[in-house]
Amino acid sequence: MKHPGEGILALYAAADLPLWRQWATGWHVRRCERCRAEVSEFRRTREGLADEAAGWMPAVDWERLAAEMQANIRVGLAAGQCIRGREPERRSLPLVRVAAVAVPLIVLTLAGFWLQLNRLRTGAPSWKQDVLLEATGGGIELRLGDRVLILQHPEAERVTYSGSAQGSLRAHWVDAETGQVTIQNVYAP
Amino acid sequence: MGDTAGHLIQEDLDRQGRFIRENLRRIFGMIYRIVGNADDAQDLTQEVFIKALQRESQLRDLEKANRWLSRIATNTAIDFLRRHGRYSFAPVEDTPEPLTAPSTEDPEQRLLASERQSYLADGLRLLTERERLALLLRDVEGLPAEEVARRLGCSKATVRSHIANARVKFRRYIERRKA
Repeated sequence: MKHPGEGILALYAAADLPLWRQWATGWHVRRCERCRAEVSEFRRTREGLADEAAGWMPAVDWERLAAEMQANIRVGLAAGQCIRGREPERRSLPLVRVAAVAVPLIVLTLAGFWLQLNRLRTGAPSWKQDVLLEATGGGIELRLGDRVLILQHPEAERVTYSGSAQGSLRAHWVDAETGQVTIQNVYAP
Repeated sequence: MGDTAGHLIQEDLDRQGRFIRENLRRIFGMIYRIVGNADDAQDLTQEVFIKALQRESQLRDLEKANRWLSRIATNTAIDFLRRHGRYSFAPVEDTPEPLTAPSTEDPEQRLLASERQSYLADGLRLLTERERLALLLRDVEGLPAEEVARRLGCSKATVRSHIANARVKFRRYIERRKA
C-alpha cells in the first residue's frame, strides 16, 4: 500500500487539499491506521498551536499600554484631520493661479485669432464675389460672380439705366411721340 | 447650532473610542504574533486603527468592519516584515522597560506562560518567514488557504506548500521537545 506523504497528511488534517485530493487521501486514511494516527497527531499539534498562540501576549501592563495606544491613535487621527483639512486649500491654490493666468491668455488669443480671421475675410475679397456693372452698346450688364443680368433696349441712347449691387437693373425712358414713361425693373433671383 | 455640532462630534468620538476598545487587544495580539515584539506591535496597532478610522464609512457594518480591520492588521504587519526584514521575537524578559509593569499574576503562572511562549517561539523560529506567516494566518487566525495566499501575495499551490512544510517542521519540533 502506498501511503500519502507527510505534507499531504498535514494538509489533509485541516482540509486544505484540493477537493479531489482531499477525497482520495480521505479514502486512504479511513483504511490505514498508520496514516490515521499521523493525521490525528497533526490535528493535535495544530489545535495546540492555535490555543497557545491565541493567548500569546507580551507580559505588559495591558491597561496602561491600551491607554497609551488609544491616546496615540486619537493624536494620529487629529493630525490626519488637520492635514486633510489643509489639503484642498493647498491643492486648489495652484489651480486658481494657473486659471487666473490661463483664462485671460486664452480669451486674448481667441479674440486675436477671430479679429485676424475677420480682417483676412474683408481684406482679400475674391473677384468672383464682386459686383460688376458694365454698360454696353445695346444696354447694361450686371455681373455677380458667375451670374450675369443683362438689360438691353433697341433705343439705348434715350434710355436711362441704373443698377444696384443687390442684383437688380432698371431701365427708364420717355416715348418721344406719346410722352409715355416706361420703367422696367429686372431682378436677379 | 454650536451645541448640536459639539454633540455630534462627541458622539463620533465616543463611537471611535468604543470601536478601539472593542478591537484593540485582538488586533494588538494578531500583530504581535506576526512581528514578534511588543514595541513594533504597538506602533503597528496604532497605525492600523488610524488607517481604519480615517475611512469610517467602512466601519458601519460591524461584522465586515472586524474582518476588514483584521485584514488591514495582517497586511500592515506583513508589509512591516517585508520592509524591516525577519521577525524578531522578544522573550518576555526582554520586553522594553516602559511597557513592563508589576503584574498581579501569580509569579509561577507568569513563569509558566513565559516558558510556553519561548517554547512556541523556538518552534516558529525554525520555519522560514513565509512558512511561519502561512502557519499563523491559517492555523492561528483561522483564515482559509485562499485568503492566506492573497495576503501573502502568492498562489494557492505555493501557500499550501508553505503550510504543509510548516506543519511538518513544527510537529517534528514538538516531538523532539517531548522526547
